[in-house]
Amino acid sequence: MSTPSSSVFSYRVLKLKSSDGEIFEVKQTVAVQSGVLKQMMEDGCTEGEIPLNNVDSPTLAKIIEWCNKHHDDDVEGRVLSQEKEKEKEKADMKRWESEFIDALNRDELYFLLIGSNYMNIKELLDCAAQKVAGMVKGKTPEAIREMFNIQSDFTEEEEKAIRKENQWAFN
Amino acid sequence: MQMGDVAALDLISDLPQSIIEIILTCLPIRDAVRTSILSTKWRYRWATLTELVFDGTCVTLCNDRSLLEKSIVNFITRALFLHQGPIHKFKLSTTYLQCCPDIDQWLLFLSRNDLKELILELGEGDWFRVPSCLFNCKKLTRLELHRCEFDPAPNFKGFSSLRSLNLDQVLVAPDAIECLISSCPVLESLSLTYSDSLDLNINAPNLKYLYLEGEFKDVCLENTPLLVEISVAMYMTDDIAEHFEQSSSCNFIKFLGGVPLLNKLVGYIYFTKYLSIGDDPGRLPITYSQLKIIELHQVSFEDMKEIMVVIRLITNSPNLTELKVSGSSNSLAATEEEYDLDLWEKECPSDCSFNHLKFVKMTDIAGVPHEMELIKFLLKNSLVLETMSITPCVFLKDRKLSMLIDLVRFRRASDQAEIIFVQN
Repeated sequence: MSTPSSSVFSYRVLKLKSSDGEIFEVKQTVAVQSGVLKQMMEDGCTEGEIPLNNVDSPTLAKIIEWCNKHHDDDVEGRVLSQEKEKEKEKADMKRWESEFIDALNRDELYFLLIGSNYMNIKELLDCAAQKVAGMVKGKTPEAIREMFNIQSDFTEEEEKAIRKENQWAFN
Repeated sequence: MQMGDVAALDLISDLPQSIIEIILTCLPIRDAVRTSILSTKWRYRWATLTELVFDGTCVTLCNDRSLLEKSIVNFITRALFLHQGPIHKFKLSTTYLQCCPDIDQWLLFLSRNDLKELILELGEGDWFRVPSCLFNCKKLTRLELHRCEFDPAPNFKGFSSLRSLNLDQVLVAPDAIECLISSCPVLESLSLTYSDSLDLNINAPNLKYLYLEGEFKDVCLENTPLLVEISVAMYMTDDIAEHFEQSSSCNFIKFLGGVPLLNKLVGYIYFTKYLSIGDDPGRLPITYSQLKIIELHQVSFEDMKEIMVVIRLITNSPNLTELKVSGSSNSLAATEEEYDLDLWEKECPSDCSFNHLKFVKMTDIAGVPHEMELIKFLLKNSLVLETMSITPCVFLKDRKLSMLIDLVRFRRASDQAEIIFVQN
């Protein structure tokens, strides 16, 4: 903390520290997409390193990649007349999002869910949840169990009973 | 962490309930209910979802309509029966279901469960009559009804939290709807579509978005000072046309006289016509300093009063950035009679200039004199214009060339202005 001018410049970048100790620098204007960081900025407590104990460095890198992309492409925010261009940009963004999410393996997706929930980045959380939902949709319970390594702890009778109770949904 | 470390672990089952809920809410409800069989951890996870959406995907399709209806009723009744805790959103959207007594019971159940959002969209057939218990849902923030009858009880005190109201093909008495709107103090978005011959006074001090479509006789935005977006499609019937002929008060002022924060205005079909009815307002008592986007479709360029509406609107919107105007095919029938082209000199302030107008799109242009005058006027006074796109109407054959000859002569205030003549 030296001169006022240096603090003016230093607050423009936040230093995020992942659970495994790596430091990531993020522009403040990008970081506002995280509800948690936004709140910290409003409270004026973003000096120094901000520890994110629930987010490891590969996940944090992914989250920052997402935020950078969405910061650059605030389509709605601009008055851009040609609808075609506007629609194209939106479609491009959708494509980028699904490529981004599809490139993740199951466990990366899991850590992204945890990380985006912890940092409160709603759009990313929704996008990742949508991906998981897409993996579950239309699958048999057996296929879902296998995909996520879920061990059934029901006895055969119990499982039968539950199926009977929920018959209306298994038809 | 390496892939190998976690490959055998069941990570998803231990996600916090809040994340599981988001995932399950993304799923069709039938898939969500089916997760109950995965393991004990999943047994009742779907049952506390606060948003329930029921549609045709709840049941397996078959050709027997009555069986289909029966199984969808069964599905919903059982799902509600097994559900625990508050239900904030209930959406029922299916053409397989007509009005049936079960819906009344579901709504009664929901009205006791802190319902905040209700969306009802049933199939054709007998119209569904909204049961009175709906008016006991004091926490409603969003209400969307399609094809039903709606009759608030006389002692109904309003929805104090309702922000969004959407009534599509809803039978409701005009005074009842006025009363409903004015008794929702925080209403922000209002959509009334396919409404018949309504005389409507809208009193909604917090309203920001207004969508109207139907045969409206008389709409007065009595108290809507915060409106930012208006989209209107007006249809005309003989009855309404007759009503217009007798009208003397000024529709323009009644509709747009009290919306100083308006940001976007879109009018379809007879909207421009509607605004032109009644006494000429003369100089407007209002400036639309926030109005950035104006779209007026099917403007009749033979009707001087409609042209005046266009002039009044654009010359009172100093920050306009986008303008779209489409002509009305009626224009073709026009003969080259006397056109009062001086109008543009007389009615537009001589120092008029558009300092923000960048995009103009004119479609269905027949090349009649007043259309050309509007284009000329915009080109001459728009300092930062980037694009003027002109699409002639499809019937226009020989006049295209003469239109182009006129166009190249027009002076342009913006050296960036590009004129795009769209050939279809």
